[in-house]
Amino acid sequence: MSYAEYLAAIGPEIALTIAALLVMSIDALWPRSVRAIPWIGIAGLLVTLAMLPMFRAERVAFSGLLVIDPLAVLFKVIALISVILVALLSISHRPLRGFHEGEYHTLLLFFAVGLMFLVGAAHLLMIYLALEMVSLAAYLLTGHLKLDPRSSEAALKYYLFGALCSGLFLYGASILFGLTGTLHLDGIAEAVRASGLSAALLAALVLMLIGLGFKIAMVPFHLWAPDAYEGAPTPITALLSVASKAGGFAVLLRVLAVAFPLEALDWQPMLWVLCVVTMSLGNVIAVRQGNIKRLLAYSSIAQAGYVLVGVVLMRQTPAGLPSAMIYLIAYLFMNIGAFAVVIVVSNALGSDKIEDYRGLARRAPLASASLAVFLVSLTGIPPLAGFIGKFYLFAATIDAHAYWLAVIMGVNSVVAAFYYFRVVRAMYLDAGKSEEPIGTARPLQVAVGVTLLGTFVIGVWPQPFLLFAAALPLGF
Amino acid sequence: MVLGGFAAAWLLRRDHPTPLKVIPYECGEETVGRTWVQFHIGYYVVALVFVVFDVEAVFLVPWAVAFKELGVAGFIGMMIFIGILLLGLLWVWKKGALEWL
Repeated sequence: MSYAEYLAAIGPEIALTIAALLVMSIDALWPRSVRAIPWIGIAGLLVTLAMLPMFRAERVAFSGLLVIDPLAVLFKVIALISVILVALLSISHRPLRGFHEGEYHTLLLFFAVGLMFLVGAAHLLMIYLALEMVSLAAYLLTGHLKLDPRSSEAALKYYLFGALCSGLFLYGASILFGLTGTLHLDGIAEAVRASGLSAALLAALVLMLIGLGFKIAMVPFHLWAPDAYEGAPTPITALLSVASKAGGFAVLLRVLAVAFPLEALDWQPMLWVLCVVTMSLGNVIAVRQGNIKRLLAYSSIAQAGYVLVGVVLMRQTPAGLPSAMIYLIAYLFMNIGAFAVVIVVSNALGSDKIEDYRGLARRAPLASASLAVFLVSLTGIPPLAGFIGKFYLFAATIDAHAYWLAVIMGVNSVVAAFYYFRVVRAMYLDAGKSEEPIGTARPLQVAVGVTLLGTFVIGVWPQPFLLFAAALPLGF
Repeated sequence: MVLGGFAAAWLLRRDHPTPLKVIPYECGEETVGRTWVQFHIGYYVVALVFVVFDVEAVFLVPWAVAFKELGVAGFIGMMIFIGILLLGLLWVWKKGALEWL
């Protein structure tokens, strides 16, 4: 393939990079047009999203550094939709208004660019580069509210933990390179198949799992998540819990499915344990949280555990991978939606405490109803998106005869219902201190509307998503 | 967990201190005078910008060596690369990070 053809393969990424550079230049040269910057960024993201269908032909670009396959395209769609929604949330988040907005949106766009490269990376060096690009933007965005000590603290904790974990990932990658002599994932698979299991291979897998487990906040590498989620600006919390996680899952899937063939190293029992621990611990600790952002942080740890169920089973049943993807898509809409309402409330009350949600149903009926829908969906009750996601995960466990996994997931869903409904009860049944109505800014209305629509459409009419996910080839 | 890390490192590492190894930094100059002097905070920004263009030079040299073989595509690619970096410099300049005090 020629150079020009390589460039043609990454058209959407190039378009998004140009948009990011444009936003950066406008920020520097015309500081007065700062109000237009978020909209230019969103326009760039929308154009990139519209370009994706034209660039979905399967191919391998840049001598195997990047692949464009259905999995990568699906993850790019997830990444772009979530970044668009986060950009919408950012426009109206009060602490962010007029505070270096140009830099904020530039970083958001570069985050999206990194994510798009990450989900298509098929070479350990490319994975690492893209992972770092995403992480660096995420650290900076977490600490964006530099005058708020909690934001700086969150960024520092996130950064230190992230630096350690990406160091460990590199260590694992270098062991793998030493064993196999190549950095291409498919080349690694061949060499691993030929050489079989060894202690060094196991060490490489564990170290790389730590690096990727950090990105998806998998227990026991989740320690940064609650503090980072609480201190970060709320739109960024939504970004970390959805986009960043989706990117981590994309790499995890690719590394496990391509580079570590099961016949050489059976990673399923290890991932089984991590998956069970992740959902159980996330749910149990979430019960005691008094701050809605911390509650959603622990809940998102548990949700990552549910997605891991599909990853654990992806080799045992053809339903494994599609069920994980459907759950991720459902999770994208319901979780960002929940954070959108959290922003509505914190704009008005300046608080994220659950006790301040008392009587909210009288003050903001629509926002409360939306939050209730998102939380009910996160619990997994029909006819919403979360139910469809859980339903297919359960179907996958039954199909693979992993009954214990099904039981544990069922118990976890009950525990989760308890704390999600605690918030709903506070909004609807408890009396509040004030009756003053709360308004919602227009961009937030749009974001809540889109996420509500997504939650209902996937719940009521999931066939198109199912067909698309089922078409994903298992071996990529 | 922290102690475990220390213990593992202590068990695994080889311990051969040489005079060159025990100096605080393996690269760079020996410090002159007290090392506790405080640098102006602006120094770090300038240093970062310097490193960016230092690394750019590293990329430029092989390109210059293989200039004829790479042809027009290489030239255009490198111009885009330099252009993006210049845009970054412009941004730093406009944001006032290059003003000294």
